[in-house]
Amino acid sequence: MPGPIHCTKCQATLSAAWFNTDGFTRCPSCNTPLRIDVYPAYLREKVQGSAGESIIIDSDASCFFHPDKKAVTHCEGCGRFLCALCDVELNGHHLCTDCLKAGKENGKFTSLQNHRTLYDSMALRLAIYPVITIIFFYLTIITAPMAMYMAIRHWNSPMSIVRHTRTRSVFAILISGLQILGWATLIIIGAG
Amino acid sequence: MKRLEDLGAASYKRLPGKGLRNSGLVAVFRTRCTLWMAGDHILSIDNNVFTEDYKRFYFNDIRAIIIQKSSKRLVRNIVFSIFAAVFALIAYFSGDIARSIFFIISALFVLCIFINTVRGPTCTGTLLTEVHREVLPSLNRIRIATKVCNILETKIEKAQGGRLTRDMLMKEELSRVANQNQDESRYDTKRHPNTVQTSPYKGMIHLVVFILVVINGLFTGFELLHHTLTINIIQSFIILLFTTGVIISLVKQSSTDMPKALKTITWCILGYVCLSYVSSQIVMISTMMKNTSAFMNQWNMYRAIWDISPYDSLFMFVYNLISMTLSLLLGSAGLILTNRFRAQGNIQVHNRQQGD
Repeated sequence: MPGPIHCTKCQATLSAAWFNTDGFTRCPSCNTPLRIDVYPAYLREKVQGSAGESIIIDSDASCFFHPDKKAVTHCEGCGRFLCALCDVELNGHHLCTDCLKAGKENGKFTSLQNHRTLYDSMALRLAIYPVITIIFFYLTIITAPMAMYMAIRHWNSPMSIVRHTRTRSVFAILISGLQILGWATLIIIGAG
Repeated sequence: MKRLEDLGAASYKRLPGKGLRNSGLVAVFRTRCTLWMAGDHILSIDNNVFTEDYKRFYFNDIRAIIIQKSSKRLVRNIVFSIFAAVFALIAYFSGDIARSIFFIISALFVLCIFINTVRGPTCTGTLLTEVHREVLPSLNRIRIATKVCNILETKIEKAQGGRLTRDMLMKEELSRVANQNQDESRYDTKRHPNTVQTSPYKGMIHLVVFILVVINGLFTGFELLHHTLTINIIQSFIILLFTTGVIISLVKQSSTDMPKALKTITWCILGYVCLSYVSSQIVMISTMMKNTSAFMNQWNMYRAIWDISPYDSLFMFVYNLISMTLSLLLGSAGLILTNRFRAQGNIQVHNRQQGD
């Protein structure tokens, strides 16, 4: 049986009469207009995870991690035999937990990443903000080299998942380069 | 074959809408939320300026998308209007240079009202999966939310192998109700004496509160005609009683299906109590400043407060007049609605008994 759907405001349980009405209907409890679009997954039964089948015949291939369990597939990363319990499916590929962990840690599996630091945004803002605020313009003597360093140091670091250009890094280098050049000119003129 | 390293490297297409996730009243950086669509999932990005957090919702796992209309547009327009009016007033009373500056600020708020109105009604989008519920701040306008829902609908239905019709849903609902009835009859309270059956709330405390509020209004009116110490003392106790009653009523009404108007009136009475408290504090402080010696003794202090007549000052007269009007209006409206609610409850009980 599907789990109930509740009103997002008053948490009252809503019956099927309120679903897929192609418009707004009012919650019977709090009168809030709601549009509830329900999909076939709503009626799907909860699937229980497989625990793995035990080995009956000695010649059966066993799982690398659980020698008493029957192997059902092999890891596409390292080739180890895996039982149903150890087999992790990712986008149609079968992996063991070790490969999955390694892939997540070294950032190779993009679909497992849930956090990224945007060094290019950081460098660009470091180069631009003191100039925009005008009164903090003198800070560029520190922020410009920092922005330049950050943009170059993290040139190859992963960017945002949805952006694939290095425009921000390029602009950060250009703007901070101009600022450094300006300061250098000022210092030379001052010294002269 | 696809390289293992490229697993899940999807190309994303931006979905309309962007919104802010509430992360407290004061936040250095606000979290900007956007939605992106890939071949088999949607990606929700929470951008914190220097970092991004990702959440993936696979089309195959999405159970429902709920759009709830909200009153944010109205609230924002009211706030902007207040600011616009305040700055327009300041501009009106200012000198030449300041006038133009304040007028521009006021005009900016008017522009905000215009933009807010043009963008359309507001809403809150929520996505449901088997295991969790996620608020999508980017679906904050009905126009955008509808557009996104229409884009996702085909993708989700394709991934889940078809459309869920209302007939299928009703069939499921019927079987659910049948199962529920079966369960209820199985766990009948007569056969299970240990099961405690709680009686539904019928609005008794609300009734008492509203009666007390009406009595308070009548006493205030009587005080306007004839001021006596006894009436003042009785009134103080009545206020104390219905203040306690209002708090209990608010707790009770939170889990009932009472009409919204009745709930609102109860909240209004709490507002009235707070207003009375603030006014009484003002009166007390002003009395204290006039007659310091009376406040050296607790009894004398009460005596000094109770002795205050509505005709002592304009403030007291206006306060009593407003208090009487509010008490009588809120109390009688509350009484009517509570009686109606109680009558409905009795009809339902009667029908159920006849059905048995």
